[in-house]
Amino acid sequence: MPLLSEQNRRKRNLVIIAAFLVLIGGATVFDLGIFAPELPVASNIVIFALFNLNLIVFLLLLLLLFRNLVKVWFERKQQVIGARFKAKLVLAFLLLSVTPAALIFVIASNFINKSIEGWFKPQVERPLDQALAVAQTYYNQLERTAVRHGQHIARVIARDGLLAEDRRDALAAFLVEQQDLLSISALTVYTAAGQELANVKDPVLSDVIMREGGPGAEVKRGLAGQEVTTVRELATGDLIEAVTPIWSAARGPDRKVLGAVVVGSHVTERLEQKVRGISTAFREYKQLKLLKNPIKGIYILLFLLMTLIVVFSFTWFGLHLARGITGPIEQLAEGTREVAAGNLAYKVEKRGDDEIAVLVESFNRMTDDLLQSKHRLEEAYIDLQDKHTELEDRRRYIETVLEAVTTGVVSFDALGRVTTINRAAARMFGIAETAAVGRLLEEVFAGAELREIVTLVQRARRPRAGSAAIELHLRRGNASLALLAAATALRAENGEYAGAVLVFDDLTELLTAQRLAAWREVAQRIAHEIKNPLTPIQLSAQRLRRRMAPHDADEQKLVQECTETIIQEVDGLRRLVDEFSRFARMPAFVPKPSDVRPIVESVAALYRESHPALALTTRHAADLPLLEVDPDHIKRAVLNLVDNAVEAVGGTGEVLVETHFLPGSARVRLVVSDTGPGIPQEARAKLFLPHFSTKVTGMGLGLPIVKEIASEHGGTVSLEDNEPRGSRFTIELPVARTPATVEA
Amino acid sequence: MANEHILIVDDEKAIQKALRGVLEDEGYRVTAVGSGSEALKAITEELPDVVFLDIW
Repeated sequence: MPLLSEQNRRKRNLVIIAAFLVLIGGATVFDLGIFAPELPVASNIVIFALFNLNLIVFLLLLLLLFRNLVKVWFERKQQVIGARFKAKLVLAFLLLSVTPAALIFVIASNFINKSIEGWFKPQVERPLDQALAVAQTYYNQLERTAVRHGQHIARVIARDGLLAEDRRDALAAFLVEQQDLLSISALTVYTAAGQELANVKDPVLSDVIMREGGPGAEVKRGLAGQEVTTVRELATGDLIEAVTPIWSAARGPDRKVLGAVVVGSHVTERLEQKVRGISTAFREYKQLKLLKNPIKGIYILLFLLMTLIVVFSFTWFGLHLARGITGPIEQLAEGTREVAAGNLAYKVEKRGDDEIAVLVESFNRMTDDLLQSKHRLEEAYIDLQDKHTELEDRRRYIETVLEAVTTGVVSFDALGRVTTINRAAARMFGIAETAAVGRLLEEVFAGAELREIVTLVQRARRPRAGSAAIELHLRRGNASLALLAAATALRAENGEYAGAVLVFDDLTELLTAQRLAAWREVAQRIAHEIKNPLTPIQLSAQRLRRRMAPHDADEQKLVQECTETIIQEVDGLRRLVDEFSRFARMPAFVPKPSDVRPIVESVAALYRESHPALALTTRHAADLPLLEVDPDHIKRAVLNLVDNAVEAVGGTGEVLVETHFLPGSARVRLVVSDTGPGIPQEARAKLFLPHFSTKVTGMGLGLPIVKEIASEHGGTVSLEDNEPRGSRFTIELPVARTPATVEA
Repeated sequence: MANEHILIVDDEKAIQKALRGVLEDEGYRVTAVGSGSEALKAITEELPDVVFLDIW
């Protein structure tokens, strides 16, 4: 049923009450019409009004009860929270109350029924009936007797003419006599005119005034010739009076009324009362009999009403109790819904002190805790996010670093499986990064030369070792790779072995540089040591040539030839030594912004001059930027390359010198290519190492010097095959100079 | 150029000897010293016309 607001509810109730009042009125009228039209209205109204009231109240209560039950049923149907419990409770109370109440009702109504029926048993009715008959008969008898007496006295009076005025005493005596004889209570004689002649009264009636103000109506009727009997109620009982006219002796139409005799028969109070009582009782009984059913109805209805009240109160009580429980339960249910939806600030109102209130309190506390937990969780989550980001950043940083460094880094877990391997390490050992991860140490570093690595890790594993290092020399095709391998054990907080990290430093370049430096020192020293004796030798030879004047031409020729040879060779030696010296002691690196194109041109010019048969072409990039270079060094490098190229083509052939600019990588290329025989594969490995030369003269220091110069500028030098034949040397220099890694 | 004074400065005795030989053949007066300080001293003693200053 829909909820109505307070106001609406009140209005509705008023309407209901009014309707009921109308109903009562209408029903009463209706009932009166149907049931007992002949009964006195006054008592009827009461009874019937009562009946209707009962009925209506009964209906009302029934309605209310029914409504409540229906409401509970509907709630249960709709599965409103708590409805089932309510229904259960209400049903329980209902049954609990209905059973005894119904029982009592049945018993009571049965009892009433029987009682009321009992009132109207024939055993009761008949005696009443008969008593009444007796009483009536008695009175009738008295009346008849009175009439007879009257007739007798009238005859006598008429016969004896006692109405005459002079016979007054005789009348009186006669009357007394008759009264005594006939046991009459009162005797009165009237004239035809209605005048009272004489009367005799029983002492009992002495206080009674017979007639006031002349003859009454009955006497007049008696004087008119009628015989009338009346019953008069007195304070002392009843007086039955019979009025008999005194007829004249004549018969037929001449008969006339001479007077009237009134004979009174007194019924004692007691008797009269009894008779009256009988008559009243009978009358009442008869009335009651008519109302038997309505009365029964009233009582039954009353019982029904009371039963209903009991049931209703029980039910209402049950409802109230249920509501007291389901109310908070509904609220709790609502609360749980709110909490589930995320509203943790919801609080349920606590009412009273019972267990439900305790439940409500714990619920509130629980939501509070939940809210706090939620906050803490949120905080922790944010914290976690931050930490995660931090971790991510750190990880990315490490990854970047690892990938960028030239040092190889390989890490293992406690079981010896590779967990990470960086690009440098992959390159060093020729392993694919992705393939290595997860594999065992022994698998990845297989082979005789790599076994040392495994041993290294094992050494690092030893409890007090911490780390260990060795030098490795690997072969990579024709080249040799020198590595410094260091292994460090990772330990967990409790000291347990958790894996290891291998670090590989490429020493090759370092070693090469060291070797170069050593060589340089040697070269310097040798150059110095050799140069010193050369001068005296040459000078001596020259001196000999000048001063020697031998006697004959043969000797002269001999001296000339020999000294010539000496001088030439010494010259050659010196040049060699000079070259050596220059390699060993390069002038300082002084970079300044320079355009390399004129440098190239000057070198080209040199060779064009000295080698007219040579086809030496230069090609320059138009947008070549200025480079931070030492012009002398660059000149030397280009010169060395061109020298080689010229040498390769044998002084006649094509040599091309180009300059290129690569804006994308910010690099500049100097390319010297020739159409010579090219350089065989096996020679290439040693090409840039000192002391390798295919030239007749010279120590093969040209290319190492070029490499040195390229390095100090932060660049590189490389060799490729030229198309269709020959060699192509490229010096690549960065536009923004990075400092050299090896000191010149 | 006869009789000019030539100063040779070189730490190698062999070179001093070789140069002296050649130059004296041509008739020059030669003073040979083996270090920078000695050279300065020689210059103050007699100013040379030509100085060979450690050619190599």
